Amino acid sequence: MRALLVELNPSSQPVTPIALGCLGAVLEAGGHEVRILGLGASSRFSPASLARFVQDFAPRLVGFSAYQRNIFHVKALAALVKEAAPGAAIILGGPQAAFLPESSLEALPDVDYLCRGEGEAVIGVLAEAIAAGGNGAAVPGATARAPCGGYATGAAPALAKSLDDYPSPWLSGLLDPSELDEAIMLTSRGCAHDCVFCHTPRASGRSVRSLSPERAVAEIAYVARRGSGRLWFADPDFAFDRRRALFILEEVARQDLRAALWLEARADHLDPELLALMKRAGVHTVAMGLESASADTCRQLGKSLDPERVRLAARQALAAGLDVELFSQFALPQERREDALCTLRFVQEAGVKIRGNSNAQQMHVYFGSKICADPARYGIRPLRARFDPCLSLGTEFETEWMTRGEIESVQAAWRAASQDGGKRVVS
Amino acid sequence: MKRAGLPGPPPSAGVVLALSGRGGKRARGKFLGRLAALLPRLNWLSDVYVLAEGEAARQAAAFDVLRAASDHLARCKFAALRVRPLLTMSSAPAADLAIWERLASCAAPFQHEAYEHCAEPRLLLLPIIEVAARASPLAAASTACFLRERLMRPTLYFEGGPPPAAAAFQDGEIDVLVAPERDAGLSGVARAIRARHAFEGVLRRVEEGGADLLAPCGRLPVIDEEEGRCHACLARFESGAEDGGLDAAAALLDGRAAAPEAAGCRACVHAACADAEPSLAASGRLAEARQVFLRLGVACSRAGDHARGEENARRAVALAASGEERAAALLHQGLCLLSLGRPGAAEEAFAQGARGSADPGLFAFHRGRACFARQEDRAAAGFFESALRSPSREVPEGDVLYELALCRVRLEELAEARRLLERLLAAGRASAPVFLYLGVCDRGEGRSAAALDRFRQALALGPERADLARVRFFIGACLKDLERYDEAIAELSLAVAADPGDGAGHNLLGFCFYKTKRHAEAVACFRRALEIDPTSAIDHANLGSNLRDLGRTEEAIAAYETAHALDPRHAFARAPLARLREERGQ
Repeated sequence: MRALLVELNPSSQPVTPIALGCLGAVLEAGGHEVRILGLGASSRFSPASLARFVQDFAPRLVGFSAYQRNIFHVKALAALVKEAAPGAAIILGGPQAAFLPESSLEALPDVDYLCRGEGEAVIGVLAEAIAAGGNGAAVPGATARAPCGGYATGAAPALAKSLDDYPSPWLSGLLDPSELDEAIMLTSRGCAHDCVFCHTPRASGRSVRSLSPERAVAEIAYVARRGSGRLWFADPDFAFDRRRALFILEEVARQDLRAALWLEARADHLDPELLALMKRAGVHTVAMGLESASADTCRQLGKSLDPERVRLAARQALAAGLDVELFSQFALPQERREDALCTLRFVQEAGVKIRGNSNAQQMHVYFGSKICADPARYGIRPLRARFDPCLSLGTEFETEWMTRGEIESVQAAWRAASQDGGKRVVS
Repeated sequence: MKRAGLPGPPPSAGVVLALSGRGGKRARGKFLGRLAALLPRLNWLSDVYVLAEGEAARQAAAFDVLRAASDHLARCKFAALRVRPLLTMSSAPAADLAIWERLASCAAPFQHEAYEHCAEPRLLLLPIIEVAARASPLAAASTACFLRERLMRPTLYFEGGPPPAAAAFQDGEIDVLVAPERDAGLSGVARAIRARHAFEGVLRRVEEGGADLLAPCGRLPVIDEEEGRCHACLARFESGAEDGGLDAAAALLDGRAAAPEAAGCRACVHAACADAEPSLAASGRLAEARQVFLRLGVACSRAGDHARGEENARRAVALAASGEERAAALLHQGLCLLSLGRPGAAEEAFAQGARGSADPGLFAFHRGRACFARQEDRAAAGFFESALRSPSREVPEGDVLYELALCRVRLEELAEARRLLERLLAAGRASAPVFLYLGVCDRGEGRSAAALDRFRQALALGPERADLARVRFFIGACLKDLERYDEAIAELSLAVAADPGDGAGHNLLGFCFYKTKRHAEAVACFRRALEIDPTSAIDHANLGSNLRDLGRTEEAIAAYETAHALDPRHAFARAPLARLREERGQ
């Protein structure tokens, strides 16, 4: 069977769709022919050329990564695919799909399945069901239209014991690092914490799953040696397991890979020894989640991390010769305008340059987060009475503590302080 | 990524529709039918320019195309179009209001959709409003504000030079296009659009970094309704070069048409960016213009086109807003001038740049290079010394030491030259030129055996082709000094083979043949030296001596006479000539 996996970032540059690579590797290992399209604002394709491509490739399975920012593009692309390849089954994955209400399928007439669980665990079973012609039975980890009306969501999928049991998109040759300016790596996923603005705790059941350190090193070495040497880690917290992090970094340093690494870690998992080793291994930037400089606000968020601990880790990282990026947000529950401006001062005083990922952004309320489930409880006031069923609140809100005008004034203050006009790299 | 990306050439990211409307309703209807089939061939994010002559024709064309664009976007909901119709602002702005409102109503459904989707509108209206000659620029600015309030982003277009009150637009909020000089009508608009399009393309590449700034622009094919013709780009439209009938449009938009010749595109991009300057000035975008000119200049130089590099640098100098910006542009201008063999002008540019720069060390280095090229060795040495003393991190210390050593060699301050060259060796910068000049120092101080070792080390390091003959020449010269003539002949033969135009090589080889009494070969060498420089008295005299020893007295006398005529003070010719004449009893 042929499978086409697509990611479209309508307002940013195309990137390596590592998540699609992981799914593609599973499909390929299952004997399917896989193509991946990573598209962005600068990608050149026309509706006609895309339709021609779909017609020629004639996929039976087409998967899209869905986010709040691209959901309507995905919806339109799904319509194009259905017209060009009427027999194709269309699957939506990614964070938006994982938590979309079942009823949103109503608004997505060309979408056949929403992937709800760990992608690798779902996609293989789904591919088999599609290849078999689909008998209407619920597929584990997926939501579909039920044969007699309504929707059916399958049971939780059976996960592989270890992420090592899934084939690697790099080592399998599906993704070719030599064709990328920067490779995105994913060696661990999930988060044990419970921040109310984040969907990851719910998606991961507050547990972290990771590749074994040996497999992680094998992937890093493969990519670094064959590609540009610029590696960007999508792991939510690279240092969640200190021994594992030490092993990986020691190996990367020992193998003299001459790679340039960007990674993110929780501040309370960092210390001078680990930071020095990061430097030795080729890490140029370590990013940390600050969220807010107000300890009270952080407590409200369930962040369980004192901003002063972030300040200390930032200082230690800078002393180790690393660049530091601090993720922060404004318009958070119980945050006043003055608190938000304190966060800007905090980042400046920490010696962190206000650019790239250190440009703060308004909190995005996404499906799957505790705030999205009950905005009123967190003092979030939607700015409109009705949202398209495919969209969560996003940034269309004000709070009990900040009006829309105040939120915009905080945004303006960050932009004014920014060295790059507020262009955040990671959303 | 293996197996990723859409196969085939990239589609066009824009199109220019030249619509006269003179064919009547039926022809327009037919054309719009064709257009409906063509729009899905455009890139998913594209620009559509709509040009026509005359107020009524412009309005009709704009609304016809907007209808087609809306239909296309309604069918293809991931695509987005920026539609840029050329419209006219009359001298009575109030009379235009109905037109602007109607225009806004075309975009309204997409603005509603954008609100619903929490996204950017997929149909953006960016009208190009030609401001009538009698219209007040302030009224034009007010029209622009009116349109902006309705979420349109207008460009005001002025024929006949920048608007008199350009300052009204220079907050960067209102975009202004100015027709290039002597161009009016559609060709003026087309040229102004081409200039802006090329500039924006280069600016985007500058901001993205790493891209080839001299690559062809993302071409805007032109479809000419009235003529029933297509043009691969605006430049070809302006020149009337045709690329097929309307049937060719699909291939052009698909990107399947043959690419234009790259060198032509490079010249076009360069000229277009220069043409864009008046519009950018009127739009308050000179900072971006300066950035583009500077980077474009560097790109031209890297491609070996120093003349265009210098031209762009000169523009960047003129647009600099601070001493530092001016210094950076002057530095580049000076480097281009140096590469163009104009060291005097280069020195002037570096001198000016040094005055505004926070890094005078770097300028001192390049001023030294310019002086050295003008053979002002004492001044050059002073600048190099000053560069070495500066705390600048930008000064390439090794290069300065080397250049300074060369100055000292030329000033015959050989001990100092040696000290500098040995510093380079100690810093791990051993290279063929360093050993070459160390050898020159040794030989200049009469240590030919030591010099021979140095030259042989230079040879072992593989000198560049341009230096190879010199290294071999010096090895031969040392061997000659050491009276090892046969070995010298072998080396010098290789030297003249490597550089047959080197008169000194033929001269020295001839001398070695003379010393080994191989006079016939010596004669051949001196004749070759004289072919290179017929005014060399010493070579005529040397020729005479060898002819004399071969017993060809008459020829020898003639050669000595020529030498004597060229340089009567030349004792080497005068004495043997006298002797030969005496032998002949003259």
